[in-house]
Amino acid sequence: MAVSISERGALELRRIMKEQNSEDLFLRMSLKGGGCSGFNYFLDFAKEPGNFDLTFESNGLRIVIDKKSHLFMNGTVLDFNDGLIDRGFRFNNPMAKTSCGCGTSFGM
Amino acid sequence: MSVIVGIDLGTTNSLVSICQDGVPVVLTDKEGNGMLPSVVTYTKDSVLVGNEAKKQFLEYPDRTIYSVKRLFGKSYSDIKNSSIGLPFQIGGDNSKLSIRAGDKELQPFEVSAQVLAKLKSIAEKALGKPVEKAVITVPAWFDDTQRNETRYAARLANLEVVRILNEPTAAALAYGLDTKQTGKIAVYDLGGGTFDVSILDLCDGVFQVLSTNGDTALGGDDMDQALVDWMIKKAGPDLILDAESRIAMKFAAEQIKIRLSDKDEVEVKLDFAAKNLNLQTVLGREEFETLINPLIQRTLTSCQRALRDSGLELSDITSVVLVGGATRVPAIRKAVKEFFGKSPFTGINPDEVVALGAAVQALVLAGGRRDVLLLDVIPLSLGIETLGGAVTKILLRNTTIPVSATEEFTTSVDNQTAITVHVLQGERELVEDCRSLSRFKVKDLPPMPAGLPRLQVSFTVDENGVLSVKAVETRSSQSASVEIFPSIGLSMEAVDKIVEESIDHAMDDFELRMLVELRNKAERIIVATDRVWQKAQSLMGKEEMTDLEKTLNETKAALKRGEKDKELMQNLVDRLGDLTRPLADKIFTSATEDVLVGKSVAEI
Repeated sequence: MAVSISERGALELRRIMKEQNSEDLFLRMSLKGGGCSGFNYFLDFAKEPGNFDLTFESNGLRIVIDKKSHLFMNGTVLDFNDGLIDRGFRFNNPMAKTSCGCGTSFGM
Repeated sequence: MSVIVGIDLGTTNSLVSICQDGVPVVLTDKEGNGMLPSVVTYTKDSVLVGNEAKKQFLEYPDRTIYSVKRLFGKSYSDIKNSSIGLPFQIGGDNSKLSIRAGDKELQPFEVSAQVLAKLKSIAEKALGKPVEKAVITVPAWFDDTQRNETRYAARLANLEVVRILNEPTAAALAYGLDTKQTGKIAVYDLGGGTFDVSILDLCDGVFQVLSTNGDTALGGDDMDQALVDWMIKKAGPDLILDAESRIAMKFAAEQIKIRLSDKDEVEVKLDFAAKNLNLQTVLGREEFETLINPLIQRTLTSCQRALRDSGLELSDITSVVLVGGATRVPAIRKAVKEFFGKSPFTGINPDEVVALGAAVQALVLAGGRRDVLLLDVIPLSLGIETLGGAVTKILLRNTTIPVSATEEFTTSVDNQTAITVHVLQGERELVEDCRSLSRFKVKDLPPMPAGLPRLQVSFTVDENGVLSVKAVETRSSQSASVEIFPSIGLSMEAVDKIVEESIDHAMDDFELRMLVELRNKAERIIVATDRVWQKAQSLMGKEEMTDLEKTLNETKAALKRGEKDKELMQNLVDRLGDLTRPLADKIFTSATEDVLVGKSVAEI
C-alpha cells in the first residue's frame, strides 16, 4: 500500500511548488497528536528523505512519509477541494473512523 | 585503548569528564558530586581535598589553600604589592613563590597536583579502571610558564598530559562548533571570581585564539557583593557590621541571585537580632539588574576590547558561547545577546561546559569518532504537555531550521492565575515517554473561566539549533519565555533509538492518546453540565434528566477508575453528547429569550 495524491491535488501542489521555486522538493506528509479528533495531518516540503522515511511517487510528485505516520495513513489519498467554500487540501484516509468538520484531523 | 579523561582545572572548582558512546559526561564521586572545590587542606598528618578541605577552612584558615591557579607562573615579587586577597602565607623571591601551609612549604603546582590526583581517583572509581592520561584546560591567556606549571602538577599526580587545551576552545568543542569548519566565535566566561572573553577563529575545523580580554577580579561574587551593599544600606545605621553578619548577608545574597534567575521578585528576609540586622523586603528582578548593571557594563567593555584586538567587526562573529555559573543570570544573557546581536549558546550547564569540551578533545585524540548531530534539521520533535499528560508537538522532527511555529492553547480549570508550559522532546505521545527540556510559568493572569485565556505558544529554532519558547496570554499580555539547546546530550544513535521506539509503540501510543483525548472530552462535558445543572431542571423532562444523571455518574466512575477501554470511553462520550445536545439547544434558546423578552424589535 501507499499514500498518493489525486490529480486535482497534484495540480494544486505543482502550482504552489512552482510559485515557491521548490519544484525539486519532496512533499512530506505526517501526523501529529492534537486537534479536534485526536490527530492532525500535516503537510510540508522536504529536501530529501531521512532515516525512517518511506518514499512514494504519485501523479508525478515525490512524497516522503515517516514510518510512524504511515502506519496510520496507509491508503490515504491527498485531494484538493477547489470550491469557493472549504477550499483546501483534504486527506481521504480509509483508516480514519471519525474525522472532524475541517477534514484535517481524525481519530480511529 | 587507554582511557583519556578531560579535566577542567578551575580556580574555584574542578571537574573530570569522559565521552561515553560519543556523548561527553561529567564523572561524579560516590555522593554524586561532579564539581570538586579546588581547595586543599594540609593537616598535621593528612591532606584533604575538595569539600572535605572546604569544611576545614574555618578551623585551619592558615592550612587551607585555594585559588592557587591565580599564582601559577608568578614569583613572589610579582604579587607582593598586589592585593591578591588570599589569607594563607605566601613567600619567595623574584624567581619563585611558595605557599606556607602549617609546617609545609609548597609551590602552587604541588597544591594543584592534589586536586588532579583527587580527580584521577574520582574518575578511576567511576569508570572502574585506571586513568593515566588527560586533556587539561587552561585560560587562553596562560603563557608558557603557566602552561608548564600545569604540566608539572599533572606529572606529580601521575597523569600524562596528552594536550593542554584552551578553555574557550573547550567550550566551543562542547557545543560541536568545530563541525561547522569555519566561523568566528566569542566565548564569554563569567565565573565566580574572574571574567574572560575570547575571540576564536575556526578554520578547517581548527581553532585559533585571536584575542582575549577580561578582569581577574570580576565575577559572580561581585554580584553577591552588590547585593550585600544593598542590604547594608537597607538595614540602616544600627547594623553591626562584622565578619559574622557579612557571612550571613553574603549567603543570603547568593540565594537571592539564584532565585531571581527564574522569579520576577523574591522576598528578602534576614533576622539576625544580635547584629541589629532585621530586613524584610521584596527585591524585584529589575532592581537587582540595576544593582549589577555596572558589573555587566564592565564585562561588555572587555568584550569591546577583545573584539577590537581581534581585528574583527561585530558582524563577523558567527557564534557566541556562555561559560561560568554567573551566566545563568538572565540580565547577563540579555546583555550578551544585545551586544553581539546573536542568541548565545546556553544549552549546556555553564559550570560543566569546559570539562565536557575537554572530554570531546580527549575522545578525538584517542582516535574515537564523535557522533555529531547535523543541525540543519530538527532531530526530534518538540512540543508541550497538554491536558491529561499528552504531548502536543509544535515542531516536527526533520523540519529544516531556522523555523518558527505558533499554536494557541487555553485552560481547562476556572480562575487559573498561572499556566505552566512544559517543553518536551521526543516522538512518543505521552509526557512520560518524552524527554523533559524545561518548565516555565506564565504568571499573574487575571482569573478567567476555563477556556477563555488564549495562550499563544511559539517555538523558534534558530540556525544554531537553539530553541526559544515564548508563551503569551493575549488577553492579559502576560508572557514568559525560555531558551534551550535541545540537541545537547543526544547522539545520532540515541536519536535513531528514540525514533525506532516510537515506531514500535505507535499503535499503543495512538490508543493511549485517543484515550487521553476522550477522557478530556468527558471531563469537559461533566464540568459544563454541572455548571448548568440547576437551570437544566426547568428546561428538561424528568426522564431526560434521569438518563443524563445516570450516564454522568457512569462516566465519572469510569474516569475515577482510570478506565483504559477506549471503546467504552468513546461510547460514554457519544452518549453524553447525545444527551446534552438538546440541553445545550434549550439553554441557548432560553438565553436568547432572556435578552429579547420585553424589548421591541427596534431595540434589538
